[in-house]
Parts: sequence; structure tokens; C-alpha cells
Amino acid sequence: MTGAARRYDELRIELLLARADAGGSLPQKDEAKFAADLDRCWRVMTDLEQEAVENSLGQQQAPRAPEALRVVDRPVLNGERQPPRVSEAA
Amino acid sequence: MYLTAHHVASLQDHREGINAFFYLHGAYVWEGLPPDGIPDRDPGILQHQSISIPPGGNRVRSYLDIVMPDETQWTEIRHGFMTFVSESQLQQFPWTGVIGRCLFRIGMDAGLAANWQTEIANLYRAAQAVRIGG
Repeated sequence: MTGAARRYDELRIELLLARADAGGSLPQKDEAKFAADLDRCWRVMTDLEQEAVENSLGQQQAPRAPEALRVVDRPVLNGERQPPRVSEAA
Repeated sequence: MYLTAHHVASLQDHREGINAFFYLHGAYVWEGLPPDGIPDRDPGILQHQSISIPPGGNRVRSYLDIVMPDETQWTEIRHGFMTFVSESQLQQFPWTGVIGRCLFRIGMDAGLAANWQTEIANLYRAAQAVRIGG
């Protein structure tokens, strides 16, 4: 992976966290800056790297996951040393 | 420090929401993996919680766990989390990883995994908020 491809990947995660930090969405100028940075990286990536990103984006739409976690929560009071979730079987 | 956010579903009225918890460990300091038993047997002392669905038998549909020494700054957590998500994103859930001295775990059910990026962002935001609130 070249520096551009690695940076492209980092930028996508940074964008995700920046939106979360901002409460869900970023101001338009910040979104535009991320878009410009992503575009700049994209344009210097090789065809193979672009193809790999497109393939990974396709896979990311639905990572495999269990139908249910089989975990439930439980009440904990401030000051206590109890974890807030337990296995359903516990 | 143990920060955890849960997306829970009430079995009684089917409401859903995110609850988050902020624990401290006190004198423990470590590099890499946290000491044995943290956080599952020893989550630390609960300092603060943010509750949208009262806990007690709710089904946990997703969770984010972040474990690190108490004095860790959010910038270190954020950087580690970014690396963790970047490295884990092609794997099936649950994800577990240690970046520096931060342990991260994310799990979610198949119904939420379809929108995993939004779900992770929501859990991350809840964990960050409960820490600030504490």
C-alpha cells in the first residue's frame, strides 16, 4: 500500500470520527475539506489501489456478525465494581 | 479507565437507546494489554453513567469497550481508535485489538452491522460524552 492509499484509508476513518465528535454531521466547509483531501489521495493512487478500495468498500457494507450477541445489561450504581453487561447464560 | 457504550433494546416495550458507563481504576498503569481481569472481572469503580433505557435485562445489540490507564488523554484514545477501526474493518464482528496501551472491543448483531459505520460513530460519541460528563 502506498502512502496515498494508506492516507485515503485514514481519512475515511478520520471523517467518521470527526462527524461523531461534531454530534453527527460536520459543517459544509469541513465536509468539503475532507472531500478534497480524499479526492487528492484518490488521484495519485494506482489503478490497483483504487480497485482494492472499491472492493473493500463493497465488503464493508455488511461485515459478518452474529444474529444476536446473547448478552444483557444490568443496573450498576456509581461507586460499584460491577460490569454493566453479562452473558444471557449467567 | 474503562469506557463502555451499549446499544440496548428493551424486552418489555422494544424501545432502543444507548447507555454508557465510565469507570476508573486508580493506581493501575500499564503498557499494552491491561492487567488480567480488566475489564470483565474488574471493570474498576463506576464514576458516571449516561442512561437512555434503564438497565436490567435489556438485550445488548452492540457495544464498544475502551480500556486504558486512567490518565490517558482523549487524543491518544482517538488516535488508537482510528487505527483500530482501520485495521479491523474487513473482519467479522466482534473486533478486539490493542493499540499502544488502549484495548478496544466492538461487537454488534447482524441487524446493526449493515450500518456499522454509523453504529460505531454513535457508540464512540456516547463513550466520549460519558467520560466528559464524569
